[in-house]
Amino acid sequence: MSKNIKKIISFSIVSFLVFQILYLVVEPQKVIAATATDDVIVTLVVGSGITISAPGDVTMSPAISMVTNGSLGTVVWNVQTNNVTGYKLAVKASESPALVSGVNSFADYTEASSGVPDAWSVANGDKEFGFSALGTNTNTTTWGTGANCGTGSTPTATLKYIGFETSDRDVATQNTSTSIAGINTTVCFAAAQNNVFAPSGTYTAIITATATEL
Amino acid sequence: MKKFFLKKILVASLMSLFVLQAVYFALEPTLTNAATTSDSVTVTLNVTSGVSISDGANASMLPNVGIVANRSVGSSAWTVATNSVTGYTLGVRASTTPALRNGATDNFADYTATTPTVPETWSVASSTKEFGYSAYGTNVTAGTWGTHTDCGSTSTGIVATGSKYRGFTTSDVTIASNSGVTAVAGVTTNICFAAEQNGVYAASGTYTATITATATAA
Amino acid sequence: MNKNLIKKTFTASSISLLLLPIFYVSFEPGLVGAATAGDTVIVTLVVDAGLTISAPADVSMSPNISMSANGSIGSAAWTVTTNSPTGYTLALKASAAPALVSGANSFADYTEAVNGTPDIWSVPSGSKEFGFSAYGTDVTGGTAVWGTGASCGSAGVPAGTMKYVGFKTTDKTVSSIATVTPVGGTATTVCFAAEQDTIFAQSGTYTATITATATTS
Repeated sequence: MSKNIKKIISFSIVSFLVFQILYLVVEPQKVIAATATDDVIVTLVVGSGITISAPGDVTMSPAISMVTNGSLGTVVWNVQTNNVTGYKLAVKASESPALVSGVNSFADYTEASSGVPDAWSVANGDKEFGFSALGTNTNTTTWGTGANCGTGSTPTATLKYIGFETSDRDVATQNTSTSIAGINTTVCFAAAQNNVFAPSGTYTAIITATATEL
Repeated sequence: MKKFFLKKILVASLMSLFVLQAVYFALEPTLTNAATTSDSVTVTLNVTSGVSISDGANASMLPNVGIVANRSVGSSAWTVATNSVTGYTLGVRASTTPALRNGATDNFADYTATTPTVPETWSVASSTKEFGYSAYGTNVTAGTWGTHTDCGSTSTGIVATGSKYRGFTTSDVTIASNSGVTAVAGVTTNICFAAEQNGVYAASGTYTATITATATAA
Repeated sequence: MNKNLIKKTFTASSISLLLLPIFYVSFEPGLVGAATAGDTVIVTLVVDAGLTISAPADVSMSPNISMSANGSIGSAAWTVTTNSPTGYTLALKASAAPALVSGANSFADYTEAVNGTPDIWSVPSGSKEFGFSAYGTDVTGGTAVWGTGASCGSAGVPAGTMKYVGFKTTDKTVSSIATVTPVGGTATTVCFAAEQDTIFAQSGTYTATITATATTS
C-alpha cells in the first residue's frame, strides 16, 4: 500500500515537472517592444517664378538727317528665374512696320533669306529698321558676335540683323535656372536710309520683350 | 431584406462620394505659377529736317547790249534738296533796287509788270530800259512763271516763248516750292534773266545784279 | 501487473495534478483545522516592458520657397510612451544625405558652427540649407542644447531662440528620460527649417524622409 502511495507521489511529481516544462514551451510569447520607429515624409515645394527688368525707353543716336544716314540704339533686359527647366526671351513690335512717324515709316529690315538674321545691309533707295541680339544666352550662329551694338551710326559688322514682326521672335534661351543676379540680353536696334530721305519727324517703335518659363 | 440593405449601402456610398468631391474641390490648394512676364520699351528715332542748296553759277547775259543790240538774256540754276516732311520753298531777291546797275553811273529799272507781283509776258515800254526774271523747273508753278523750258536765245537776246517775267525786289519772292521730301539728288530750279533797252541807250559799262536764292524747309 | 499499475498510477496522477490546483484554491485554508498556523506565500507580478511611438502626418513645409520667398518651416510631433523604469531615447535620422532633395537638386544639410552642436538658425550668402530643432519636456540637454521655444516660428522664419542642426543618416538623439512616461506619453516637437540666401533653389518638389526611433533605455 505504502509502496503504491510512493509511486503515486513520484509520478505526480514527475508529471508536475513535465507539465511545467510543457507550459513554458507552449505558453504564448509576450513581445517586449524595445524599439519602435516611425517615418514622416517632409515635403518642401519650391515654386517656379520668372522676372524681367524694365529698362528705360530708347532714343536712337545719332539722329538721321540729310547728312547722317544711320542710327543705333541699345536696350538690355535682365531675366531671373528659378525654374528648373529654364526660360526663353522673345521680342516683338506692336505694329508693322515697326518704326513709324504718322504716315511715314522705315520698312522692317529685309533679310537676304527671310527670317534669317544677316549682316546689316540696306538696299539703295530703301530705309529700314531692324534688330540684333547679344548676350550669354543668345545663339551666336543666329545673331552673330559682338561686344556692343556698334559705334556712331554704324552697326557692329559681325552682328546679324532681322526685321521686327508683330509675333514673338526668340532671342535668348537657357535650360536651367539663372543665378539670382539674372542674365542680361542686349537688343541692338539699327536704322538706315540709303540714297533716300526719310521724311523728318519723330519715329517710334514699341518693342515688347517677353520672358517665359520653359 | 438583402435588397433593402444593399440599396442603403449604395445610397450612402453615392452620397459620401458627392460630399467628398465637393470637399476636395473646396479645399484643394490653388497653385499659381507666374510662367510669363513681359516688358515694353518705346524706341524713338529722330529724323531732323534739313535743306540744302547748290551753288548757282554766275550768269553772263548775252548778247551784250549796245548800239545795235537792245536785248540780252541769261540764266542760272539752283538744286535744292530737303528731307523736311513738309517740303521747302525757294525764294529769290536782289541786293539792291534797282537790281541791275553800273554803280552810280546807270542802271536798268526793275521790270514793271502790269500787276507788279504777277509775272507777265516780257514787254518793255518805249524809252525805258528794264531788267527782270522768270523761272522754270519741276517745282515751279507754270501758271505763274510760264510754260517755257529754256530762257530764250543768247544770240538775239529774245526771251523764251511762253515765259513770264517780273522785276526783282529786295525781299524774297518764291519761285519754287514742294510739299514733301525731295529725292536725295534734289530738285533743280532754273532762273532766267532778261534785260532790254527800248528807245534809249543804257550807258556803256558793266552792270551787275547780286541775286540771292534762299531755300527754306517748310 | 506492474505495467497496469503504472498505467493506473499515471492516469490517477495526471487527473490529480489537473484537479489539484482547483481543489487547493477552493478549499485551502479551510482544510487547515489547527487553531493557529502560519504560512508564507510569494506573490509574483510580471510587468512587461513596452514602448510606443505615435505616427504624425507627413509635413508640408510652408510657405513655398520661390523667387520672392526665401524661407520655409514645418513641424512634426512624436509622442513616446514607455513603462521602462530606465526610460527611453528618441532619435532622428534622414534617409539620405543631403536630406532634402528634388531629383538632382537639393538643399545642403544645415551647417552648424560647431559640427553636431545645434545653433541659432543662420544660412550664409550663396547657400541653401535644411535643418531641424526640437522642443519638449524630454529634449536632451534641454534648452541649453536646443534653445527655447514653444513654436517653430512663423511665416517661413524659424523661431529666433531655437537652435538647429543638420540631419545625418545616422541617429541623433533629441529626447530622453530615465523614468517611465506618463500614460499619455511625452511629446517631442521637431521643427524643420529651409532657406535660400542670395541664391535660387531650382523649382521643384523637394522631399526628406525622416525616421524617428524610440528605444527603451
